[in-house]
Amino acid sequence: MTTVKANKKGSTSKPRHKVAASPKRRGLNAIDVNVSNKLIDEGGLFLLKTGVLIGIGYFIYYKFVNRFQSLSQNSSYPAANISDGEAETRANAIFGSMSTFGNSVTNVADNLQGLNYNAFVKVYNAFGKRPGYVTSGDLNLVEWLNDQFDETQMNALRFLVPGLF
Amino acid sequence: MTPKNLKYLKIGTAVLAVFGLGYYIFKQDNSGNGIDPTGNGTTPPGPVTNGFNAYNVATQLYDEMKSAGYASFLNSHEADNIFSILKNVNAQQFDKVVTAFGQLPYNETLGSQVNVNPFSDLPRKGLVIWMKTELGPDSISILRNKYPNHF
Repeated sequence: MTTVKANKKGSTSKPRHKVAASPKRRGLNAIDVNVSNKLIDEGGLFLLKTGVLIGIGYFIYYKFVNRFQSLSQNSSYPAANISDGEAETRANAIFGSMSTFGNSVTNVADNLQGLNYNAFVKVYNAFGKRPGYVTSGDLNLVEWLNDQFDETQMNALRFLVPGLF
Repeated sequence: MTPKNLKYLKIGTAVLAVFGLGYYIFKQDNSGNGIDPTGNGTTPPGPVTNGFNAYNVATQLYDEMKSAGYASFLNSHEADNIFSILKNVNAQQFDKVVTAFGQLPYNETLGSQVNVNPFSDLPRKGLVIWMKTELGPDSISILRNKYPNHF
């Protein structure tokens, strides 16, 4: 107990004594305020610039990472059994089957039925990225289907176009 | 032929050989003869022509549906399993599954093979009636997309 007290006393009294006794130190304090004000200004500007740069960087990164990457057709499989226009129509119809309340799985199924691999690629590319459920952001076709339907409904859709998603 | 010419000839041959080999290694298959994983849009279709056995599929469907209750009632995984079983079965193959299933005793009211009347046998029903009884309207609509001749 006694040693701790002694230590405490010593450590608190020592620097106070030193600062009070040094006139140099007191003189510097006035300059210190100006310098520190300048530093704060510069520091704030620096932080602002850094923040803006990081923000722009993150925005570009986000846009890049979340861009739509189209699938390419696999030419070793049979050619697509629908045209580009039909793919566009089907993509629109799939997206249109979503209403304010819920989504019609049978409507989506009608538009996915009978697609072969390359035809599905066409529909996927025509779909691009479209908004899903309110909080989900923009999704590609496969993400969108997973977003809209439960596992049983997904199973039913996989039954129509097996081996794709 | 000077030794220098011989050297050039050797290098030329080696370069040609490398290019020739590269061509065969990296050649793209554009034939369109590959087996489409969806089994759609080609005749004779199907990724599952190999290993497809109509009797096995019919048995799996029977095992899935024979227990009490419907897909929407008591058996929550029944619809999932039926779609999984039929995933790689195309329309032509489904014809064979229907034939292989034949007509089996079925209680349409209970969705099972329980016979409540001891004085008469259960009526025999085909696969499509079994499935129409077991599955809900949405599932039937999706089955109709793939097997329009049956549903």
